[in-house]
Amino acid sequence: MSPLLDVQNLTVDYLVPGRPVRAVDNVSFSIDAGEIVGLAGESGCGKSTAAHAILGILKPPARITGGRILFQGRDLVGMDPAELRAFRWRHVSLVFQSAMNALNPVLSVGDQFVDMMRAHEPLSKREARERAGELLQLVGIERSRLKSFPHELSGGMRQRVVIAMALALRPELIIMDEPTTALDVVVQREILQEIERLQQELGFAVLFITHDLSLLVEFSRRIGIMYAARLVEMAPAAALFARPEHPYTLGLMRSFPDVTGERVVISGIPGSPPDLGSPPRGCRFHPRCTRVMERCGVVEPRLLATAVDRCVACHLYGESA
Amino acid sequence: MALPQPASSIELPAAPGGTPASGRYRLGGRWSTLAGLWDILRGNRKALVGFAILVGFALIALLGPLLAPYDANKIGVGLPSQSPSAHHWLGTTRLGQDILSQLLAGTRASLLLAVSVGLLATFLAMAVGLTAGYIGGLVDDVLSLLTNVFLIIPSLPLLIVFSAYATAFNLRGWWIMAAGITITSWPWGARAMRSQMLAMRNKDFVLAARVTGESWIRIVRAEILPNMLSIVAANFIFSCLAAVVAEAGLEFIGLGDTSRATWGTILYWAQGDAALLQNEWWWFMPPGLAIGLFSTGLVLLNYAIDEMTNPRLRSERLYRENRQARAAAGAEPRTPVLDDVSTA
Amino acid sequence: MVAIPTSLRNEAPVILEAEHVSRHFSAGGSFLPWTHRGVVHAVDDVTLQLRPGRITALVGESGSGKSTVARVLARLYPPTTGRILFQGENVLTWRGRRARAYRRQVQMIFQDPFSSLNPVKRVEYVLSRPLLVHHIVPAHRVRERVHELLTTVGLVPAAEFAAKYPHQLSGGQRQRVAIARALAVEPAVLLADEPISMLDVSIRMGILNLMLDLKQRMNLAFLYITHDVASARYVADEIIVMYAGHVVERGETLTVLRAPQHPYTRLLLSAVPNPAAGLTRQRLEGRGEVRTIVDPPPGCRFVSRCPLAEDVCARTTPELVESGPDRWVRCHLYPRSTGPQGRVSHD
Repeated sequence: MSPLLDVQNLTVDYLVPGRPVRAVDNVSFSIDAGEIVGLAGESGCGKSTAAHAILGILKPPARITGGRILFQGRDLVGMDPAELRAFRWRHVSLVFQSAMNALNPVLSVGDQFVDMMRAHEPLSKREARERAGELLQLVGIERSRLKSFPHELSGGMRQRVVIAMALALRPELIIMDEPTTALDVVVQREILQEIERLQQELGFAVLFITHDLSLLVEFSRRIGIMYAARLVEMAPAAALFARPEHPYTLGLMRSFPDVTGERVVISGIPGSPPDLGSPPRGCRFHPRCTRVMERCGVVEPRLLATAVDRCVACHLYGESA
Repeated sequence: MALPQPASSIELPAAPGGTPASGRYRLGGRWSTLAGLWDILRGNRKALVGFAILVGFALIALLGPLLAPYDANKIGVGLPSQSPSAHHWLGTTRLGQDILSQLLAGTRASLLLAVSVGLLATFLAMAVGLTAGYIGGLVDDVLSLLTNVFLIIPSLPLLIVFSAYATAFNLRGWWIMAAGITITSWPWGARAMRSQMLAMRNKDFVLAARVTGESWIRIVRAEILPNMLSIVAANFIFSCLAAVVAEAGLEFIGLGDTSRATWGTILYWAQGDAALLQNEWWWFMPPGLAIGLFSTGLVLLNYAIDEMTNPRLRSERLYRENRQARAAAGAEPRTPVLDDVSTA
Repeated sequence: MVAIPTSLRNEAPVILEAEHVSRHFSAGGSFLPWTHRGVVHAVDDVTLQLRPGRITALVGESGSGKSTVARVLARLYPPTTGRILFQGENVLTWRGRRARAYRRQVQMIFQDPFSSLNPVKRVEYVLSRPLLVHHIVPAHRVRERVHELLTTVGLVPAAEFAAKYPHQLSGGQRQRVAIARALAVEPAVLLADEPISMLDVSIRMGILNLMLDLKQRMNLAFLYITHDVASARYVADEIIVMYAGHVVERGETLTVLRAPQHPYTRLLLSAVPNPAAGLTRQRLEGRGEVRTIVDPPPGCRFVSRCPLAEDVCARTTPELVESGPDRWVRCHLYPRSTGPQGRVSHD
């Protein structure tokens, strides 16, 4: 069965004067229908840029300069803007990190729903409002809140509203870009449980983007790790947690102290992410890698399969290993 | 033609959660205001034009009266109501005065007033706005009340009343008018300064300075003001602008010192002698154009200041310019690309 | 694997303490009395002690008041009621030069590395100011000391870093500069307000380990404010849990987290992602969110979310009670009249 979303060799450049900066470098991954896939990485790794590229909402000077994005077989790269606008939100939608980025502070919640739905479908105001009420109930908010303004809602409720908006047209894929980072830990768990429930009920696929790897391990089926614009590892969540292959993944996991068990010193990863304007030669992680070899500074490792559903871009595995 | 290559790198949008994607920020780094301004002027045509205009006016104001062929006020240096000629480049007035000389003298007078008002109004706005913003509480309430009162009083009627009284008490002199205009133009700046101070006061680095033990004077002077220079500069520019227009307006209706040549009084005299009806364009157009041109110069320069404070405006403009240049050179990427849907 | 040593509690005398500190804000309106819109009880009746060579974690979600506690301790705001004692003396009576002396003893690190450094000043300036204001070293030795400070926090080569502007540094580096600035005055107490929450994940541990190192080497007293229970568990000897302005639980970190008494602490722990727990879905004990407390009614503030709430909880505010050796909890499950064992917990 062909995947729902198939990203092939996606490359996004920031076309600034001088040399363009490559924010996403030859990234390929796929998502099956109804699957939850996580994309983890720190700031500057390109995960948000990739998400925006999939939705076609890159802001200049960012441009897709290579690759294909196949959604149900159709290539999104090169679609004309009108087609893309029709496609966006109906098939793929986005939940932003901060709800206040997505919600208009001067319109009531109900008005925003109505606006959005009528932009995509021929509905009367009353029908749209009716649907909006249903959507709010779906995410666990009382219908009466349609009259409220965003600032009158708590952070968690706002995020639910944003999720409801993303669900409005029943898309097949919802991309969530750090949807719970700005929320308190208790609310975060509630929202995640809510998303899980909705996902099971409605069957949409999720691309969950976050820097919080521990969250992904609990929540997603497969996880991709990005570093400095590249995809460096991809594996099922349980396998990744049990046996991370890429040294960066290992380092990332060692950056989360445990809440149970003995207290031991953990060290994170020394150094900082590279300057994308002039990245290191060879493997981009090698200056910070504890298992660096001579080859790493010379040749870029390719993404190779190490098991039927795992791949990693590291010289420790693959041809030379 | 070579693409404009700014010395500063462009800011990359930071991904959520922290460190910018690239460490190459020089804009805002070499924080000599003049160096930053020069960088922008080199690249931004509008700003360069504005800057050139203002420099031109400044030169005229400085040297003009020295280079004037005749005494501006002297009657009868030429035949009355002459259109421009070799002897009188801008013609003569009804009384035979040389208009060019008047314009040159008037430029100095008008500019002097504009800049004085600009400085004074900005200073006053800063004093009130920054104090209100930093101290807060009752002081803020009182100063805000004061600011608001001055804001709602309609400025032109107030100016007219003020000038009329001054004239009645025989207090002539450009400084009276400067005082009047200052009184009606400082409140706008005060509000802006106060808002900015409120925003800055709670910034972590200001709190950190307090925790370090710095005195509040030192904090305002050394920590906050350097971050507000662009607002102060913009305030100055717009105060000058308002002053020029207000001055011309007041003098046009005869409330200024009508014996002294300024842009406004030239128009007053022209109007009094029905120059418009007589189609003596050489009389009323030059001062009008001067006012317009000077204002344009100020506004254009403000573009540069806007860009200095908001680097994203600059990168967007450069991106647009570069795209056109790249498309012309055939250097667009060959793979199909999504067009920018920046409205999304 | 190196275990983290826990400092013994009663070794050193209390250096900084808050005694029944409250901080209230007016919720809008001007000085005219009829425009008032209620009083926000950001912090109510908080008592805590900081000792040299110990890290105390103040844990809570947004709206819990933890940052306000730090700012009151840093004397950025005066407390509405209560006292702050430094080495036993009430600092609120200190004026003028003595007030400045407080700044030498108590320093603060802020959450946002992007806004805690003045964008138009170089690192050297930032670090030299505290040295100059407090005359730590004579003027000709300032540069040398700046370099020493940078080395202490791991920013080498120091001369290079001293010349940089904040935007030329990464988040982690900026936070280290902020720590160096705090250390410049050679303080006794460091208040760290969420120092790592805005940093990249892989560099957080570096900062936490630096804190542990400084605590050890310089015998500093730390107040570590965070919403992240896991990092609190990593660094802190003592943990204080806050909810809606109140301290709800307090005690030695490992003890509290192993067997939490207050229902809110239990809720927090159940919400933390814990992949090591075998990837099972954890059940949240309670729901809802913290709201800003404007004119709070009497009664426990957690009552609307507490799965164990009873009638008394909505009527009477529980007091902070010693429920065990070095353990305090504010909950009607542990009333004052009962002995140190309190009531038996519900597991």
